[in-house]
Amino acid sequence: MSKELIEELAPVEVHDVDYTKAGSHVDVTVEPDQVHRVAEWLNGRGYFLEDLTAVDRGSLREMVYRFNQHIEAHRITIRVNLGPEDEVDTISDIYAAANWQERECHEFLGVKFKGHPDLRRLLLPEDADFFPLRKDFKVPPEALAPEYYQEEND
Amino acid sequence: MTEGNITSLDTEKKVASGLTEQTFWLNMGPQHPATHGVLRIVLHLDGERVVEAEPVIGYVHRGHERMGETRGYAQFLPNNSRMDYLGAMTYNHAYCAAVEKLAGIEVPPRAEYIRVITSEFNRLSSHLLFLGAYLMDLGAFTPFLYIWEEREEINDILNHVTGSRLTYCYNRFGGVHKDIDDQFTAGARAYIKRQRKRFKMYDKLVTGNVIFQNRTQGVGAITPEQAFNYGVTGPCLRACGVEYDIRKKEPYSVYSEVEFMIPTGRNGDAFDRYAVRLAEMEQSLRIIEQCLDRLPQGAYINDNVPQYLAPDPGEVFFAFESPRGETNIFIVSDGSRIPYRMHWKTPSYTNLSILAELVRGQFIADVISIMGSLDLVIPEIDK
Repeated sequence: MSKELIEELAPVEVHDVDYTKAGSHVDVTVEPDQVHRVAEWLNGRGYFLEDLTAVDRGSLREMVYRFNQHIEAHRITIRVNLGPEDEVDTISDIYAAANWQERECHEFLGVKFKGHPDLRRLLLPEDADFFPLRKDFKVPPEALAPEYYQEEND
Repeated sequence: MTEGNITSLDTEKKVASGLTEQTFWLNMGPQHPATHGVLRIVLHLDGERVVEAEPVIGYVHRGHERMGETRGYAQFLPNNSRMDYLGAMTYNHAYCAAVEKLAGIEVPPRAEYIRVITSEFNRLSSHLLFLGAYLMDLGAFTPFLYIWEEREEINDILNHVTGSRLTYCYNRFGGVHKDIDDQFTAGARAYIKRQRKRFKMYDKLVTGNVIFQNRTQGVGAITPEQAFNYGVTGPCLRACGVEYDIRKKEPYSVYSEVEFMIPTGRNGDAFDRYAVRLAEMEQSLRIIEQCLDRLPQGAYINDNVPQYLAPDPGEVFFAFESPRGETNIFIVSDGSRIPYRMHWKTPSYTNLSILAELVRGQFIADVISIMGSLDLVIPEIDK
């Protein structure tokens, strides 16, 4: 089942995952322009959008989508690597759940979603011009952990 | 009701949504007794009817995700209970389970049983509070006093082992902070016995009440398709008849070893959401009873867990069933003592996003009924 499914997703990279450790049955990276097609395909097969977020990896941002089924747990992780100026298609026209989650992802990490109907700030103040979950965001020193947590591991 | 209140909706949108002289805007919240926290809903009304509603959230955003990325794994423990303060134990339990999975820490069986017992007690107290608060939203004051008494007993039982009554920080990586004793088990068993009778009383007092039925039946019905589309989980999803519970579908801890049912509804309306929660409380009692019967002897914490955790580079995605629905934790480790990325997807967040669709065309009084039946906890939405 998994093999056919992976073929249909047309990934650029298939990650080797262990469900008992990482919590995901299938884990693939796809091209940014494939996200919309993949989401549509999964929607037709009874997968709902469980989670959507991004990880800031310095030069690129990795979008992580999680899909799951109601009947039997089968979690599919879709990853997309985005450059600093890259845009990704919104999937809020397929899943209503993506609407708020993409807004959140946009305001915290600055990911640009092409075709999203309403990208106003959701949790941050309306005039916020910073992206708090980016690694280049300066956290006030009083909010940082004490030094012994930041030392080298012994 | 004045122009100045409409800060989040621009003029174009107002025109597009058909704002005429007959309609007006009303702010519900941010301070409103029925929102149980700082939630604001901008209602566009035509007389008593809702034309459009927009939830405005973020008033208690504290940046939990970023906090998780600036401090050690153990330092983040108290933060869990500040997200969903009514289901604090379940969050605490799941955060530890997620980090244990990431770092490959073994948990003694006794600890797992204790975790399930305490988590289910917390689910009970959360559902009890929903019951009382929801009925008070609908105008019934007395049930609130009954549930407060019962909730107080759970708080006392948990206070005895955890040392706190609401914002628990009881779980540790590799086990729990303190072992449970005979006083705890005796108290828990006495509570189960008493509570079973109380459910019968609630059935008589509330479920059959005509006013309650009229205000909830057929109100705010979610179809399974809508729930799928919006990613609704928890009792709100099960009320539509979808049997989806992480405790059954992806069992963690010792949920696979105990017997319990997933109560489901049929119509997905406010009444079914109430009924599902009531039935779930009885299942929680069943789980606690079985765990108390089978409680193994032995260690309650793994002593070999290092003081400063530094898991190998990798990531974990962990799903668990909080009282409000499926919560997901996503942690990325880069091998240091501080998580590289921590992400939480909380159930009230997705359950609230469907509100605008549910209240469209309804009476303003039903907005309270629908919102209350979703059982929202605002700090969990705002993170």
